[in-house]
Amino acid sequence: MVRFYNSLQFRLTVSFILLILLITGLTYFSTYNEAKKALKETVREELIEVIGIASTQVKGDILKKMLLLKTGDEETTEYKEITGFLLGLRKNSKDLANFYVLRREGDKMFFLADDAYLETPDDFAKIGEEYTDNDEALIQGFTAATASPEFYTDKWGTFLSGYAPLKDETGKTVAVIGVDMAVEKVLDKQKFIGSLLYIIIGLSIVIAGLIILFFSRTIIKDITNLTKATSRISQGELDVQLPEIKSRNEIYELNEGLKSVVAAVEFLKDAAAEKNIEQNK
Amino acid sequence: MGNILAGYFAIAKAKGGLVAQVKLAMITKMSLEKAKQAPDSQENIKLFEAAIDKV
Repeated sequence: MVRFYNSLQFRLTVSFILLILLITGLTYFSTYNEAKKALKETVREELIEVIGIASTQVKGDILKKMLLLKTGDEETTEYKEITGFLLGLRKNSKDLANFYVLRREGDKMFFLADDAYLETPDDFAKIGEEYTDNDEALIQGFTAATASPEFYTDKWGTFLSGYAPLKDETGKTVAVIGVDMAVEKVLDKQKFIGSLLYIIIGLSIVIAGLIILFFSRTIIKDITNLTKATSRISQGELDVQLPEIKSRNEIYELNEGLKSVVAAVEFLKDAAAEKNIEQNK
Repeated sequence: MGNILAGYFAIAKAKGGLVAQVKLAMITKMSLEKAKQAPDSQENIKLFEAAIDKV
């Protein structure tokens, strides 16, 4: 008798499950990581596009007023007008955290305006406040529209940001405009992809389980029946009903071969018995 | 029942002795005793006819 853990059914089932787990595991990690990278790249491209468009909107009077702002001007009409203008740039995009403008003095960066003033008056970058956690893309933003290559963290949170130069009427870069996307927004999108992959993997496992069940009920069942019959023959029972196998596969051929051998042995057994009777007469 | 089929074993014996009878049993998958119990159907006769040509 074949022990359960040595049986073909057990070994095939375990092999199938291991194979499924291996394939789905590798697929999950490779797909999820690639999807994460692709998603981040898409967000970066969106930020570059948004900030590129926004930089073309900040010009003329609004830019002149911005450049004239001094420390402590937060309560002035001009500052409210400027921050209102910046807030208006992102009113149609719920994914963007905030717009702000910085000017450069040597290697240092100072805030000129931050639209967070209108939404969170207790937590915004004040005029003249130095920005010390320089995102490397921020420097490049004085030259052309760009976005942070990776998430970075400053005192306001973790973001992916886009930057673009603000130019005066002479074409000289006078400041940089920035826009942030909070990490949570990107992570939400990544989680959605992750969940989708989990569903696909779950479905794959269910389908694979059904395939295993199908194998168990057809091929493995035929082999089990044939094994049982062979086991009885090996015990000397020649009058065994061999299974009827419908599929014309290797197991069918094996069963037919066994039928021939049993018929031959039966014939010889009968012939020997007949000869014995004749000799005893 | 099975008389015609059993007769094929006699033919096989005449053609090649015990070896031919064993071959016949293997091709038809029926021993002499089984052949005696099996019906002399057209299908079985056809099977034995084909087998006797091979032994």
